[in-house]
Amino acid sequence: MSFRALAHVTRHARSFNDRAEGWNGWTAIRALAFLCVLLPFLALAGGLFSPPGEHWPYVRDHLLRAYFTETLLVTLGAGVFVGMIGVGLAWVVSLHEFRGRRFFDLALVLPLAVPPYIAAYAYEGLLGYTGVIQVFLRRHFDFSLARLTTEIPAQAWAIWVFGVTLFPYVYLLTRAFLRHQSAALFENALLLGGRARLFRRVGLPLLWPSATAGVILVCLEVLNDFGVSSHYGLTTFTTAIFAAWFGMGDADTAIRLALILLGLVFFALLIRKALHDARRYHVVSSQEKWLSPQRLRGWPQAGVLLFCGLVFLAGFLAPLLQMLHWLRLSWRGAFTADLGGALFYTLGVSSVAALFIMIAATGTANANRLFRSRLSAPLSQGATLGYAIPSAVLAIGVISFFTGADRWIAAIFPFLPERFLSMSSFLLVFAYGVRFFTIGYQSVEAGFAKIGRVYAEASRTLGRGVTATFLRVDMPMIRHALLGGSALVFIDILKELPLGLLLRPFNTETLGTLVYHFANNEALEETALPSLCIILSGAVFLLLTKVWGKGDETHVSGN
Amino acid sequence: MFLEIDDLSFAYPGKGRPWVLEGCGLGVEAGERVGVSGPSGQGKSTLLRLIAGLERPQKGRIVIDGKVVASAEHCLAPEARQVGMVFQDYGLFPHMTVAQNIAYGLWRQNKKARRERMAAMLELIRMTEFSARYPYEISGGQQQRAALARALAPNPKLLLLDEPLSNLDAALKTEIRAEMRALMEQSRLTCLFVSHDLDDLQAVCTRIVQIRDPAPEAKSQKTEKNQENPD
Repeated sequence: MSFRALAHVTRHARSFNDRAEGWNGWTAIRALAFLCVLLPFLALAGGLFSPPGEHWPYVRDHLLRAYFTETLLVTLGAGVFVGMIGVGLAWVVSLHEFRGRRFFDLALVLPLAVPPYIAAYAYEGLLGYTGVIQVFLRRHFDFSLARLTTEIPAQAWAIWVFGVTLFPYVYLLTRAFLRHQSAALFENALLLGGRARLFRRVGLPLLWPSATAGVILVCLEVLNDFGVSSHYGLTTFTTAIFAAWFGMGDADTAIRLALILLGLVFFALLIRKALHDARRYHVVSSQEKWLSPQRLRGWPQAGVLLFCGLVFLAGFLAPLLQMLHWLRLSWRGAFTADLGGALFYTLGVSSVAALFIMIAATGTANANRLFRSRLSAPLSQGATLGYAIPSAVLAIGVISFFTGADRWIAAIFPFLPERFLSMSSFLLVFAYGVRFFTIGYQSVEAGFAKIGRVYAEASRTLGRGVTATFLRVDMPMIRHALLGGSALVFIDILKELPLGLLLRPFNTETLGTLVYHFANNEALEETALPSLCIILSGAVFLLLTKVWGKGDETHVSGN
Repeated sequence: MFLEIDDLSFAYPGKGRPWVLEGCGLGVEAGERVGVSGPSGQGKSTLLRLIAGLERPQKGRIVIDGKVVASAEHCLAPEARQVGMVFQDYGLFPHMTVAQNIAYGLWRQNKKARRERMAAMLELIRMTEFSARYPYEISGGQQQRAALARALAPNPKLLLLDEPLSNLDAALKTEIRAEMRALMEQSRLTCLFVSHDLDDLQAVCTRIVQIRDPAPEAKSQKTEKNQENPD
């Protein structure tokens, strides 16, 4: 080989190495995750340029105002309600020691395992005219609640259901914040202002950023909801999108409604940023003594126990017991082939989607950690926007994009079946991936943050490449974060309803859609078994994530 | 010159970030043990990270054993540089035993050679009986020795030590300094040792260079001056 050729090869090898640092498998995964979230957005934006559907003028002139009012009323109502419950519980559990505190610390997370639409069906069964409570009161006390229950507006029921099932979002964030507060801060406040002023003057301002972050998360969940709104007959944007798509058969109107809903979501995200930036506190202290709870006795303890117990009862125990009651009544015909099919399909789709999400989340988080560039932050932040997109909006974006992609595929590969992608489960897995990527990403990122970069750097100076370092060093150390993230993603997919309703292939059901169809056909008792499958598996995985969360802490701090 | 650092400049990514190092130059002969001292925040650790390939310089170049490993145009990955590094908090993998930590960098060798090298390193640091322990089961001094053995095991061309004694108490420091010096002399390795404690450097190194903080107006013209080891 001549010297010139050798120099060329050397130069080539060097430039390849440079590219390997800037553009490699990890950064490619990050770019791909961003692209997957971007595609449905682009498809939706494309809908703006198509002519409006025939129903759009009527919807715009006569219905749009009602959609806005109802959506905002329920969203804001649920936001305020969860704020009160979540902050109240976090304050009580973090600052006080009482009998059953450890139990409630775990138990108050469990309402997250109950999808709000299942809680709505359970409350229908519990408090309805033929429900357990009303029958009991009529039979034993000759007392009727019928008037009271029918006079409560549907919006209030919806707010109640959202409040008691979604408050853990606020509770968990504020509780995590309080857990790492210096004791000196609260001890000083107590000395200077007394107990009465402690919550109002010190607690609330400090909790503001974490509490508002939790409340906005709940608002996004409410904007995403279809099951509860549909059950109570509310005219929110999500039910309107379904009505335009299925009732009117007008996809263009559905796309326009989806874009307005997306606007509301971005407005909510802007509010979150503004609220967060306006009151962000950094506590400067070298104090290593964390807040220790104060012992409660007597009436104060009874009051706290009652508060925690009632919330746990309303958010988890009551729906669970109602479903068990229905199962007792309907168990003979409950084990059907439909249920078996839905169970296997849900488990299969959830597992595949969770696997893809965790691979993409791990790739993105590792790329962000090791290969920082100007594009790192926009790409990863863009990819996490998927969680804010309401499922109905996302489903329309995904359908719009893949219907076009199918035409393109059919032209290139004519031997493939017609509507190859849009008739398969691929759409559902893709949409789950876009929507729940954030959950997996945040878990992995938290795991990486705990271990830092020093182990990876040590491994690379010992001759191992990025991928080998991840497999041998990083992965074993963040395995609990990976497991916890997978479990959280799995739970959310299990609970998800609108994506299943819009994107599942023909003749297939998920557990969620099966529950919805039973409830829609007034067969509430039949919802028991599939609902219990969702609630119990969700509860088990939630408890496991708590255990796994502690696992990584002890592992790393052990060094 | 075994290690040549020429007009090296580095700033962390981000608009308007100040230079951590600017125009830095240094030459180290093969087998030399050079100490780098200077106050905190002067870029001592960053210099080691640049040599190890954990950061990319914006200007200048680094040559190790005649091979350009970093310049403005290209940057060789850390795993391709054959440079060993002992970190300030050791970075021992907590899910691996002491023996597994030491054997980690020997993956290119076959099983037998790996086992022999690992046993030799354990003997060198007098920790054979602790080989099956996890890092959290041994003392700070033992962790430091294990980290040093792990870095030395793959026979690196150059060893970088980033304040490896800063987490130890005074009595242990004196003991470890002597051990380190003996180990370095035995292995005849070229070594760059960063510390803000001159006593550490004087005990281990053959030459000490100092990164000095220039006058504020000349911050961008940070220079290093060589100073012979009084020993």
